[in-house]
Amino acid sequence: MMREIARVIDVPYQPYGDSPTIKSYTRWEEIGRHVGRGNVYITGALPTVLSESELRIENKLLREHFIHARAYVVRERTVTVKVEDAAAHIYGAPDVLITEGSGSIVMEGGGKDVLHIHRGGTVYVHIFLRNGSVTSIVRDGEDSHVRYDVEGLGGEMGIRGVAYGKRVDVVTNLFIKGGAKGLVEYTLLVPPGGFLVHRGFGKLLKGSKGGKVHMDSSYILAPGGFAVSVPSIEVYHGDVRGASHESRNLSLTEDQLFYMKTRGLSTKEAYRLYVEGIVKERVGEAYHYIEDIVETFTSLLDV
Amino acid sequence: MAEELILKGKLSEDIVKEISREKGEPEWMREMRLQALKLFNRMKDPLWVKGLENLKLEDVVFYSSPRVMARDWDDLPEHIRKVYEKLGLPEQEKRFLAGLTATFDSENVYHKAKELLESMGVIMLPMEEAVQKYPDLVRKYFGRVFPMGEHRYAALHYALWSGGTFVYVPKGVRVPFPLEAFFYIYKEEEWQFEHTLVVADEGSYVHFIEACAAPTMQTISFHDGVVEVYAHRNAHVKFTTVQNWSRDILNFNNKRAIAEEGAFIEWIEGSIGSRESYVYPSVVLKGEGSRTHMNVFTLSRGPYVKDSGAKVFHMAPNTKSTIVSKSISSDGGVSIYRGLIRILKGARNAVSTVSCDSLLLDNESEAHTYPHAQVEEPSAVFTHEATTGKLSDEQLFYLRSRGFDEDEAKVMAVVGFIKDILREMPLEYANALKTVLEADFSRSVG
Repeated sequence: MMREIARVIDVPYQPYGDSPTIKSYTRWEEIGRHVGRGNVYITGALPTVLSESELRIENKLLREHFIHARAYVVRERTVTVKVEDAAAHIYGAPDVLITEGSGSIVMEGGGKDVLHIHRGGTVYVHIFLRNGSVTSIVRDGEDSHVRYDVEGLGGEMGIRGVAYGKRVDVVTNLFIKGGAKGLVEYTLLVPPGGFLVHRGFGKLLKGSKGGKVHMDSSYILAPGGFAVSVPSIEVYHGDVRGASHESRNLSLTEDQLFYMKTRGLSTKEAYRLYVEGIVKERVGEAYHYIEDIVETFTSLLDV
Repeated sequence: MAEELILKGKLSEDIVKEISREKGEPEWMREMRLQALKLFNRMKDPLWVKGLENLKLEDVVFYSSPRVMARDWDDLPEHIRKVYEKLGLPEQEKRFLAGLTATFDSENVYHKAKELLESMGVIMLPMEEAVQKYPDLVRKYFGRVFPMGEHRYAALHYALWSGGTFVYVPKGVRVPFPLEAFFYIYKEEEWQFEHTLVVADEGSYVHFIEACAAPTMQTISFHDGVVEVYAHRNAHVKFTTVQNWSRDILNFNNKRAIAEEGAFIEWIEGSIGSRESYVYPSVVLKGEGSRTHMNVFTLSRGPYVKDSGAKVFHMAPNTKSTIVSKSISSDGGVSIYRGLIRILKGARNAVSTVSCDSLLLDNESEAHTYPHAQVEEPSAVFTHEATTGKLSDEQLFYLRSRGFDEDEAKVMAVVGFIKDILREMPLEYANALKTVLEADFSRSVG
């Protein structure tokens, strides 16, 4: 049975004593190790449309383990995940969603914090959460369109992330109702020849008394790249705590570079350090990826 | 006095030809109008415009001329003179203007450039007269800064333009007093398409003011003007607009300036009146070291929409732009800021700073901000920040504790909110604007 599961989800089987501990490789740390090798993905449908025949899981206990999985890897698929009851964690959105290749993924979840990693390819990703937050990493995106909608009635919510690739369009929408507080912080890493767009709305809807929203859109631009930033805000209620947005070019300036070089760093090291600092600020939780992102981006900078 | 001419009906080639004939235009201008009409018929409405879809191109007064041109207020027909006297224009002209053109419906009815201008070699003429007297000079710039193909209503403007002012400031001349154009819509169903063209030659300076007004009407009128400014090397042009149309006017104004090397363009856009307003002054920083400073103020009171903003194109190294936008929404008004900063590859060390603040005075009002940044130059410094907030209780409490009643306190807070804009305006206009706001808000706020 364990071999069958391993075949279906294409993960090298790792036995842990007698226990069929699926969790051991569905934990984010475990998945992270495999992502770089490109051999971890689920070929079946996601849990709400899960059927035994598709996954050929005969053991009920194992199936439960799978449903409770904290990470999904979706490759070359068009899938839809809908969560009717936000409190029903068994069918809740995953903590980690990894998308790769072509297709489209629509995920509607409840109150969750989701880490989404898009690993390149032509894809449309749409994540809709209520009272949740998204940490987003778009890597090696080519013609990628990624959209996040987060809607909140109260509490705090946010979308943070970084994107780099050739042609990437990231949309981050926050819809605030009630006295919720929302924050978007997104940074584009634009390589030479790259065309990256970050746009989105911070909306304080009717009835958002005491609501607050802030959008921060920034980019590090390499020569020959093109960055577009459209952080819009719409306020439909007068009695709000405030709405604000900002947009900046975070490219390393000559003065900054000079300062770092006088401290003994080479140009390349200075760029690495600088980019790492920015990326950590945005997606510090996904620490497995930071080194890879920084290395890949700075290697494209021709410095 | 010749009989008044009114061209009304369905928009057609005949109407366009008739306007051109009435003005005795040269062939190239007539052809330009017809080309624009074809373009208008071919183009679709811009997607970002809401509210113009109900405009009907039938039974509209496309052109209305009182057929009078006076150089003295006393030569104007009484009903026209009274309008301008009520608006205080003759007094203003006397006190601090170097030249004034007044447009009544479609045509200029009054024009006077003081002798000082003539002695300096400055040309300030009604647009039609300039086309006749300086065809080569006008042709060199007309429609080159804001082309007719920009969008459907720019094409409509070029087909039907009438009225407006032409200004040419020669090399090194600094005009010491402002020049002004005043537009007034008098007739029901009248549409206005005035065209303003300001050319500042090398090292010159000019301050041009445009203002407008209209009485309350039974029907909706449409204002579709174009302002073109061309600043040659090291020239400095200041352009101030105080828009105070009545609530029956849809205001769609198209404004653009081109700045050559070292030139400086200042826009001050004050938008108070109108039912719906779409105005985005824009500057093309074409020459190295050119700069622009734009102040945009909008007041949206009542169930009306003010869609304004600013656009800057950085095309050369060391160019600099600053945009400051302030908007106030009250009584269910909607303020929209729509801006664009485009920094092209090669615009090394370009610097752009955008700041827009919106103030909401009640729960029914709305404020939206849509900034676009499109950057291709890594060495460019670009920052944009925007805030939307309400009049805080702490501010009001502080002012009331100093002995002001609630209305006074609110007016003070509102005037304080736009103090940066007021500072940039000529004193007379700043005071007038302040008075209008005080009168407006002491009645309505709260």
